[in-house]
Amino acid sequence: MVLRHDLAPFWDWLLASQKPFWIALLALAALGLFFGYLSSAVRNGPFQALRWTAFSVWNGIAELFQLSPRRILAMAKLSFQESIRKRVLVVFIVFVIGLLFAGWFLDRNSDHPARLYISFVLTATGYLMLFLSVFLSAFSIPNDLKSRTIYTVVTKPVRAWEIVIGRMLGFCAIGTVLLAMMGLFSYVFVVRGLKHAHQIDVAELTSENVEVDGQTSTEQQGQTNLVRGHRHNVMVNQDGVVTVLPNRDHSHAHVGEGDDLTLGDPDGQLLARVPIMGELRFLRRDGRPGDGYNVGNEWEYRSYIEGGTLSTAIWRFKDLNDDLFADEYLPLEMTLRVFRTYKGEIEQGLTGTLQLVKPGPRNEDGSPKLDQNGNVIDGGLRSIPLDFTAKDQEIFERRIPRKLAGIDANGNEKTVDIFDNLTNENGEIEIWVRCINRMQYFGMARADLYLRAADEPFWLNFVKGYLGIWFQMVVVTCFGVMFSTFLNGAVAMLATLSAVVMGFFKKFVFDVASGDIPGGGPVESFVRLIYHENQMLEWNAQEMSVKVIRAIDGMVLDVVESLSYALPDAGQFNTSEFVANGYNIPANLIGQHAMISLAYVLVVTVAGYFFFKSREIAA
Amino acid sequence: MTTNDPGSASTEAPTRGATAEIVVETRNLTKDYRDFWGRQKVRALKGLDIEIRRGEIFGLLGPNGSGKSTTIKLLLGLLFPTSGEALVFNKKASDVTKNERIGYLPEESYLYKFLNAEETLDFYGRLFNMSAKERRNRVQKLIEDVGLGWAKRRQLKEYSKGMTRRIGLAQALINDPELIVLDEPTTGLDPIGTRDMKDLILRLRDEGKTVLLCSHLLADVQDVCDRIAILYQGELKELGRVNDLLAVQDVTQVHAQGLSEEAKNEIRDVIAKHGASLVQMDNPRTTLEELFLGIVRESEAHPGRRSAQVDANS
Repeated sequence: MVLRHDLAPFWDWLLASQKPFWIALLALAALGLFFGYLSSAVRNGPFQALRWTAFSVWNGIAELFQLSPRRILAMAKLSFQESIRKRVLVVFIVFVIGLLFAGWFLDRNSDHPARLYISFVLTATGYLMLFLSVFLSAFSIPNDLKSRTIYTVVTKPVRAWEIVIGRMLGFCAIGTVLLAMMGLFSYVFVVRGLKHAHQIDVAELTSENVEVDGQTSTEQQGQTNLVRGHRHNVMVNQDGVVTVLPNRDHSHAHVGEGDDLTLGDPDGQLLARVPIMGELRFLRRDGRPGDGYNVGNEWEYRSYIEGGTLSTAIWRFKDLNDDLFADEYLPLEMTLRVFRTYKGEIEQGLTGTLQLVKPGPRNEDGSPKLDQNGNVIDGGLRSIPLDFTAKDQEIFERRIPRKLAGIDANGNEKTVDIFDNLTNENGEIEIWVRCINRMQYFGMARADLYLRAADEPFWLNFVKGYLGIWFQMVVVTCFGVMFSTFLNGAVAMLATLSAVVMGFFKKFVFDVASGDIPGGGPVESFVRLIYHENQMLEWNAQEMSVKVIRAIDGMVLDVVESLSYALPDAGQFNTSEFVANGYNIPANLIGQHAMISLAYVLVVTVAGYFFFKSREIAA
Repeated sequence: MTTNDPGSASTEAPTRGATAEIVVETRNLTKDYRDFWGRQKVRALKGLDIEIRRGEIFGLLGPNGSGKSTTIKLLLGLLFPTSGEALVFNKKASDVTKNERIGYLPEESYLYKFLNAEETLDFYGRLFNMSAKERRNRVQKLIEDVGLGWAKRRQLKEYSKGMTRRIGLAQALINDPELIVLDEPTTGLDPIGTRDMKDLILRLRDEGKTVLLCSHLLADVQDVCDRIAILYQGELKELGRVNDLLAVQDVTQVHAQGLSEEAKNEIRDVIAKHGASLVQMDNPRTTLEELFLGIVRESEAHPGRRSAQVDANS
C-alpha cells in the first residue's frame, strides 16, 4: 500500500495549513519589505526610501485592479509562440524516440511488468518536464532584456503583473500541451507494451479426477505457452470452462469458443484500486484490549498477534454502504507478515480466521465499552469465522459474499447481510483477524488490510498521475520566471535548479539541521572528512574549537533550514507510486497538491512582480 | 508616402507651441550610473530642464554619450532618475498609464524576430487592450502605410534593416499616439528611407502630434525639428528654435534666377557702395540627397532608361 497514513479530510487539512501558511507569508512579506527598503535606502537615503517603499507597495496593489486579461493573454500567447518557434516540440520527439528504444530494454520478464512500465513512463516524463520547464522559464525575460525587445513591451501600457503572469501562463500552457501529448503517447505505450495473449496446448493437458461435493469429475490441468517469459496454469473442467490462474499480476479470459482454447488480453494488470482504510486496534492473548505483540524489532512498524489465543487484530471501517461496492461482495485485500517461532510446514502458510463483527457501544474517547470481565462488548451479531491461509508478504484477496452465515448474541446461527445486519447505524463494521496456529504470529499494520471499493478506471488514474507532474511543472515554471525577473538567464536557471534540488532534499536538510543525522553541519563534516574521522565519534563539546565550529554550523544550518521551508518540494507532487502499484490516487490528495501549488504560485508571482518592478529595465 | 519640400519644416513653426499644453517636462533631471557596489561611475545627465509642448518636433542633439538616450529612457520609465523629475502628460515617468498615449521607436526596432509583421502588430495592439476588430483594421492600415503588405506573413528574422525599421515604426504608431518618441530614427536607413521617415515626422506634426527625437545626424535634425536641445557630456548646452539658432544675423542671402553678368556686377557695386563685403556669389549646388532622390524617382517613372540628370551631368 502506498499510503501508510490516512489523509486528513481536505477541509480539515486546509484549515490546519492556514496558520503556517499565513505566518510564512507574513515573514516573507516582512523580509521583502526590509530588503526592498534597504536597497532603496542605499540609493536614495532613508527618508526617500521610506516613501519609495510605501509607494511601491501601494502601486503594486493598485495595479492589480488594472489588470487586463487581453494583455495577460497577449504575453502568454507570445511565450507560447516563442517556445513553439524555438522548436520546443523537439523535446516531444526525443521523448517518443526514447520510448521506442525503451521498449527494447524494459525487462519483459519482470514480476510486475505493469509497475515497471508505468513507473518508467511517469519518471521519464517527470524529469523531462522538470528540465524543460527550468530551461523555458529561466531564459525568457533575460532574453528579452538582452535583445532589448523588452523596451518595446514595457513602454506600452502593460503592467509588470501582466508580464510576469503572462509569461508564467504561456510557459505553463506549452508545458501542458507537451505533457498531454506525452501522456497520451505513454498511455498507448503502456497498454500496448503489456498486451499479449497465450495459447493452451491441448496435447499438453493432463486429466485428473477431482472430487467436489462428493461427486467425482474429470478436470484437465496444464499450462499455457511461454509468452514474455511467463506461463499461466490453466484448468479446464468437463463442461469446458477454462480457469486461468494469475501470474505476474494478471490473468487472461478465455475468448475462444468451444474447443478453441485461445486466451484474450491480460486482465487485472492496469488497475486503480480504491482502498477503504480502517482503524486498527488489538486484543491481547487474554482477549483484553491492548497493544499488539512485539517480536523483537522495537522499531517495527507492524505489531503481531499470537496464534491459538484470543489475541486479535481488529479493523474498524466506517461510512460503509453498498453503493461503494460493485457486486454483491465485500472484497478485501490483506498482506500479512508471518513470524514463526518454529519452522513447521514451511510451504504451507499459516492459517487464520476472518470474522465480520457488528461493532458494539463505545466510550466517549472512542474506545470500545467493556463488560465487567474486561472483555469488549460487541454489537451482538457476528459472521462465522472464515478461514484463510497466509504466506509472508503475499497479497491475499478475498471476496466475502454479501449474505453469509452468522451467529447472534445467543449463539443462534442465522443468515446475515453484511450491509443490512452487520453494520451499525453509523455504517461501521469490524473485521477481526486471528491466527490459529499455536506459537506462530501474524504481523500487521493499519494499511495491511483494506476493503476494496469499486475500481476507478485506470485511464483516469493515469491522468491523475500526470496531474502530479503537471503541478510540479507549474511550480517549477513559476519559480523559473520569478528568478528570471532579477537574474540573468544562466544564473536564473541555476537558481531554479538549486531550488528544485534543495526542495527534493528538504527532509535531509531538516534532519541535518535538527541533528538527527550524525556528523554535524557542513564545517564539522568537512573537518571530519579531512581527519578521516568516523561520523559517530563524539566530539568533546567543551573544547573551544568545537564550540566555534558548531556555532558556525548552527548559523549556516539555520539559514539553510529557513530557506528550505520556502522551497518547493517538487517530489511531493509525485504520485506515480500510486499509479504504478495500481491504487487510485485519492481526490483529497490531488486537492491538497493543487492548494500547495497554488500557494507557491501566488507567493512566487508576487515576488516576481516586485523584483521586476524595482528593476531598471535599461540599466 | 508623400515627399515634402525640406524647407517647409519650419515655415509655420513660430505660430505653434509657445502657448500650447506642456507634453513633456523634466525638472532638474539627473542620472548617475552606478557600479555593483552602488558607487557612482558616471553622471550621464546633469540637471536637465526642458519643456516640450503639444504639436512641436523637438530634437535632442549631441555626440555619442552625451545623454540623449538616457533622457529618452528616463522619460519612458526604462531608467529611474537619481534626482529630479521626468513628467509626461503631467504623469510621472514610472506611471504605466502614460504609455497609453505614447509611441516609441527605439534605436534598433527591438522586435520579436520569430513573429511575422501581422503577429507583431497584433501583439502590440493587444498590449493596448484593443479589441480584435480594432486590431485587425489598424494592423492592415499600418502595414499598408509602411509599405510592407507584400511581406506581412514573413518572420521578422528574414527582414532587411529598412523593413525592420518600418515595422518598428508601425509598432510605435499602433495606438495612434499623441507623443511619438524616436531614438535615432534615420540611423541605418538609405536615403529614400531617410526621406520617408522625415516626411512621416512632418506629417505627424501636421496631424497635431508631438514628436521627440534624438539624433546625431545634424542634417536630419535641421530638416525637421522646430526646436532643439544640444547636450554635451550630460549637460544642456543650447536650447531654442532651429530657425533662431541657425540664422546668421549679419549675413544676407539673396536667391535670384536669370541674372546676367552685368546685373551681377551691378550688385557687387551696390554692396561695395554700402560699405559691405561680398562673401559669396556663385551658382548654388543641389544636395547629393536631392540628386539621388531625383534619379531614383526618374528611374521609377521610366524603367530601363538612363537618367536625364545623369546624362546632363556627365
